[in-house]
Amino acid sequence: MSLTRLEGLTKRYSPRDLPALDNLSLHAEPGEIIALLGPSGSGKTTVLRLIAGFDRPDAGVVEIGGETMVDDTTFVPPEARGVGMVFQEYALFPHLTVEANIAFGVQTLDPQTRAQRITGMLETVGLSGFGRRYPHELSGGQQQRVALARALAPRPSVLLLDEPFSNLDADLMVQMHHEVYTILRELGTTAIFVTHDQEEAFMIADRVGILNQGRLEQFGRPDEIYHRPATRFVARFVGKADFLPGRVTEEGIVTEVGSLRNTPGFPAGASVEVMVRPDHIELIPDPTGKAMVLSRQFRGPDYLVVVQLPSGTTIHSHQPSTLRLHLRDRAKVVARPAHVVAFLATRPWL
Amino acid sequence: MATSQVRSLPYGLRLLRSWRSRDLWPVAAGAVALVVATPILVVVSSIATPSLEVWRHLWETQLTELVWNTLVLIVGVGLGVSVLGTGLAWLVTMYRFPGRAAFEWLLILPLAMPAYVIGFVFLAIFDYTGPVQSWLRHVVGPGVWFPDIASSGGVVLVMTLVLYPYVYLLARAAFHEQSATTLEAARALGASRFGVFWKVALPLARPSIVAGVTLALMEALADFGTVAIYGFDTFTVAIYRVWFGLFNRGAATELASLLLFFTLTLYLLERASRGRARFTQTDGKVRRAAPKRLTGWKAWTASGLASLIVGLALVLPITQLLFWTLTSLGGPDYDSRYPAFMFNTVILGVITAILAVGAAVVVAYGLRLSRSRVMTTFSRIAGMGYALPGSVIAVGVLAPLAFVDHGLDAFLGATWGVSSGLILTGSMVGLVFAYLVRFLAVSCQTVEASLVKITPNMDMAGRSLGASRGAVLRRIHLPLIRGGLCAAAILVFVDVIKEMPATLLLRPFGYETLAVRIWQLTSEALWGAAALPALTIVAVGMLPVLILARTGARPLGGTETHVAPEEEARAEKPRMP
Repeated sequence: MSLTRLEGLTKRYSPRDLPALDNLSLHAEPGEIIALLGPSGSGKTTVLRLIAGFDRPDAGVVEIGGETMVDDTTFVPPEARGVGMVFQEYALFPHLTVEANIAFGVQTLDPQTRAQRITGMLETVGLSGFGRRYPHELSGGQQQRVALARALAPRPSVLLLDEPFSNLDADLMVQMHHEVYTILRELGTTAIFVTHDQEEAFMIADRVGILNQGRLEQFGRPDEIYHRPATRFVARFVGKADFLPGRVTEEGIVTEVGSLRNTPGFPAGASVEVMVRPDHIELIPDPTGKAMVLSRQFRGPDYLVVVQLPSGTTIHSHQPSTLRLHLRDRAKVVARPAHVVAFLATRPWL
Repeated sequence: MATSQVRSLPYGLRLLRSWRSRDLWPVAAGAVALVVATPILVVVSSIATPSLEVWRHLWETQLTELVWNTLVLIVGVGLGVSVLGTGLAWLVTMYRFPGRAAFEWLLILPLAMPAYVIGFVFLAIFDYTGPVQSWLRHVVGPGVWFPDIASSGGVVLVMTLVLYPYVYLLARAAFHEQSATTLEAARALGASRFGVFWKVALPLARPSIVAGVTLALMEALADFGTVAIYGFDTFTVAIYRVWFGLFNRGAATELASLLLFFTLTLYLLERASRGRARFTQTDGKVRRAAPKRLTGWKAWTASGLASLIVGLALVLPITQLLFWTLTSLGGPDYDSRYPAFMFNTVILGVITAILAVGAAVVVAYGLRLSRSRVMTTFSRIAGMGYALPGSVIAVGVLAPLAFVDHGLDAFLGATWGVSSGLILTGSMVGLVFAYLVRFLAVSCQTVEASLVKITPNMDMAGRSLGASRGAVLRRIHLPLIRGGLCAAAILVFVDVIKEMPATLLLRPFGYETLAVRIWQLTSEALWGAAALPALTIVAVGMLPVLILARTGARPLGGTETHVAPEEEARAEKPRMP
């Protein structure tokens, strides 16, 4: 198992449209699990198709296991890439038994090794004894495991998973997240999976790539992505975020809810927007406070409270479920962000 | 979808590129489609290059009669099948009467009957020397008036009886899809049941009805056997006559191109109407209008009407054929060569079926791999063969094959001093090729319909597991579409066995099939001797109707079954729960 590398991948399906993928580069260390996260139409699945070889990029390089699969002069067909793939609908071969499905990709092994490999895979995915069944005789979770076993049986250099969990119901999904994670870690397989579910990406992946309109907005560890979003899009897409207008002064960034440290180092006088997450907003009940409670939603462990500032800006805040604030109550707002994240304002504020 | 870059390359360059990357599927598919499209293009191009001399001769001799007869045929059969097909469809969908469930099925079966079979049976029964008129003369006395069956009226009647099921099937499907709410709304607004039919149901079903009528008319134009024995000269008869009587290939080609013109008009009309039909169709999840139970004389009139049609188009001819066959067995009318004709016919059917299914797999899989515009165009042209009369295709096939034949013969003569003779046109090759051109669309449609049900993810799964394109086809697709392949083979087989004009024009000298025998015997009024081959063809012809019954649940499904939408949606996916 070695490095999988994408360099400058660009793909345009129609000359009229925006590129489906625009100059995308990323790499996966051996054994690493990468999640590609983005809204639908952001190009996530295109990345997988290009890695697997079902499409040819207009430009760029794909390297798998240190070998060049695609560049300006090379194009290795999908069957010769050693890439495993798990599909949203599993795409098990309905006319073949579970065993035959898993055996599909290991025809070239000698019979004994092949039999061992199949038994081993069935064991790994916890389906020993199911080998003679047909796919339609299995439950959704079991089909998913067969799909995984089938893709892993040829020992691929990299495993691609296309929204692998979106067909499962909520309970099963959590269980499969865990199982798939364990299996991948156990086998040390490099995996790239595509999802639109941020929790799923954060739970399973070592590193997450955020895609928007064919561009990779940020690529990094889940906590980096969450706490230090590189762009406004990432900030909004990953978790809830409000943006407070602020002005940079010598003391720091002055906002309606107080001053914050100018850790990003903006020049004095600049207009910025500071990202605040609901977790970082503290509300102190205070009849003379500047903010007024607009709405509150009880969510079990906590309340999601929306307050309005005198300028009209609204801010979300998570408050413990023992909250004493009511509608139209006044409160004092204190922002305590873990890291100050701000972007230069697109139009001048204040 | 190909990339923008690839898409903008000229086709030739792209072919070259796919050749280099050993990507032969699209090339093979394009080649098959091109070969099959050639005869069609040959005849089409002859429309553009008319030979004035030939036309003047045709004009002076028979052209007016041909065109007039063809128009009579179009108008007569068109009216006949519209009224009969739509009326019967409305009757079985909207009313309950004794035997309705059986009639709903039986009314489809005349589709299995080639027009030339029912044609000669009617001629035998209703002609001056036939049993009906003889009996009438016996009872009423000589000089009793009886309509002449060997007339335009007779031809229209016969064709209407075998071709109305096209309209019946499509109209019935359309009526089934109409929502009860629409019809009930009309009734609530004060329309009578007939008013609903006339003002709401009929206009809604019109695209389907038009499609059915044009299909029926294309068959009518293609017919040779009936019009020939009825002495009703249409283009197919004229082509046959100038071909064999005058050995005038040029005139045959010009006539074929004119017939093609009529057919193409219908073909385009059908495509246009079908395009719209697709838009108006709902997704089949509507509540259907409750049928009204007929009682008393109304019920018996409905049953009687349906019985009359089934009796005329099905029971009468089959009974008469059975009677002839049974009385001829062992008698002088029985031809001991029947097994040989049977063998000849089956061989042609089997060879063509295998080739057509093989070619269909190549084209359909090629289309699946790359839906380029050129591929789609070729496959569409190749699919047009089904709309063209066998006589037109025979003419179109002969020209390119004769060209190859002469070229080959000249080449061999020049290099080795031997003659290859008419290796293509004088053998079964030409005939099988013509069948392929005519029936590739049948197998293609069936194979494509089965392939579409396999999700592209299957292909990707197979490829990522190390299988090449060919291996994906062999290990995944072919096992999954076995049923579709068999159905396609049977459909082509049956069509080949029924096909008369192309066989007559292109068969190797002395090679006789059942259809050829029927033509030879009926043109000499040897009805009894023609019965056994005819009965065989009718029996074989029932096969596709049975296939349609088993697989095509949509047009033939019982009205009482209500499938839950989820179940239906699941059933549409290929066996993936």
